[in-house]
Amino acid sequence: MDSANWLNSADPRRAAAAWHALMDSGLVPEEDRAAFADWLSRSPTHVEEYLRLSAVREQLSDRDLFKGISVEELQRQIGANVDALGNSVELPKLESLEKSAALRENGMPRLPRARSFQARHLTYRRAMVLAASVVLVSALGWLSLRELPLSWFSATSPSATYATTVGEQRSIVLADGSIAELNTRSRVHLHFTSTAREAMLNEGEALFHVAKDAKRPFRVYSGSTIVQAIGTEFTVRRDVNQTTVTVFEGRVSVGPTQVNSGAASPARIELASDQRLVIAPGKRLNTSSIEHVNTATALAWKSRRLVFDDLRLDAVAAEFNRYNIRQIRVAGTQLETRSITGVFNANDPDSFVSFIEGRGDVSVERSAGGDIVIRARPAAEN
Amino acid sequence: MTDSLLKAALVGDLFDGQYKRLVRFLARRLGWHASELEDLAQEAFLRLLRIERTELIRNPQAYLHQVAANVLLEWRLRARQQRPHSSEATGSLPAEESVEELADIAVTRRLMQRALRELPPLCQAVLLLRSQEDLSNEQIAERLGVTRRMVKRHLEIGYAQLRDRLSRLNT
Repeated sequence: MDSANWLNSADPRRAAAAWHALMDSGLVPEEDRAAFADWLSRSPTHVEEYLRLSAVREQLSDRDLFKGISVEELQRQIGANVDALGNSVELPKLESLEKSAALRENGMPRLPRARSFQARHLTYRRAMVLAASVVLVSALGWLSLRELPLSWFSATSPSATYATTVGEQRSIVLADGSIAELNTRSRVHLHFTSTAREAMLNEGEALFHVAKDAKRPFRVYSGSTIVQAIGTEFTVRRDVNQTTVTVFEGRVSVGPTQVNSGAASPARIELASDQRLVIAPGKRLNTSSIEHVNTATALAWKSRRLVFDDLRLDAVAAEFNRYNIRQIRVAGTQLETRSITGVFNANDPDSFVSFIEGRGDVSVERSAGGDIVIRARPAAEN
Repeated sequence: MTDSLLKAALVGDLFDGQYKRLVRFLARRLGWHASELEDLAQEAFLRLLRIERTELIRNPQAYLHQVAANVLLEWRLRARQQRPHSSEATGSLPAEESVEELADIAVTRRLMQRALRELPPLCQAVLLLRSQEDLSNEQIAERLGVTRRMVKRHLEIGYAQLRDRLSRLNT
């Protein structure tokens, strides 16, 4: 889903579309022009695809083409529609919609914690369809462009739950044109009304590209933390004991859901671009704990890369465990604090394990279930 | 056109008219004469390789279009020499369309129109503001109340889907 990936896509059509969008966007920095020149010089197919798109682009400037379409009308449709973005969103199947209609009376099903990937996958899929009582309506909204007339659902306020299983990532285009990108093992419940846009992050991490709507603030709830934005881009990550908010564009305000009037700390903190704040219950909200972040590194998860810069081994293991069914455990407190620096593929814990094995002072055991235990060798413990 | 003339053309504004002609040519041939487009791309690719890298980087898109326009121009000239009295020879440059070509343009436009309507509304809005009102990504973001990344993203999706649709409908 990351556009940087489209530029380097092996599919020349996608790459050409991404280069066109970039080269057309006004003043292009020299490094981008150089990269584009290299891409062109790599294959005649690239040249051909780019020329085709030049023609498409030229056709688009034909006034007649947009006869009967106005920006205002399109904006109205954006507001009334839940729409799927290309192939990046899986649409619920009609048969599961029928089942959900039949099961709706039974209320919200619980999510069983199945061990097998397949089972969890299916459970979440189903849960996603069943979870909210109005899900039928919003799911019909999803199918809107393909299947149904606009008038069917334009008056509804979409509310739905979306989830990813271990190792899965997905993008969801929301009713207002905002985009939510879910990282691995994440769950978010969305509720949009005429006065507010609310997202409950129940688990995991999500990137929000928020469409501007001054009348309806966009709020994300994560545990006891609330993050509010108007039009911006940020991620919220929920861990057991803390919530991390990272802002990429615009400003957001962060605070507790319940304000203690006697507290000395401020009720809200404003975060600007490239800033990050970790909020933990019991910890004072303090502007001095705002960190500066490297945007590229912070969004590495979108390309399934894990970037560690001097991170403790136990935290590294926890990070891999978010993405994989097979869990890594670190035995021994001395080993837990060992510093790790490197870039790894999130879906490939084995490559990380062989990296650490290469140091020679650890031993690695694999249990029958595939879990990995890293321990210090007795000789190195001295 | 020699390489030095080409440079001169790029420095000045000569380029604009050539570009219009080129893309009109391309638009007419989207899908219909795929092999002709392929030949054009092959030839343009080879010429791009001959251009000094630093020159190419200065304005790669303009260079590509200029080189492709030159190839077209040479094809026309050659055709004129081979058939001095053909109708193609009397029309000086590919500036005027034949009846056939006009029909092609009308069909392409209809296909484009249909493909455009099938895009998500936000995608259509972004394409409209870019191509009809020449707004920058930033201005489009402002106008639609979305982020710049989203504008770029929807442009990419729009371009890719239109291109896919056109080739699918034509073949």
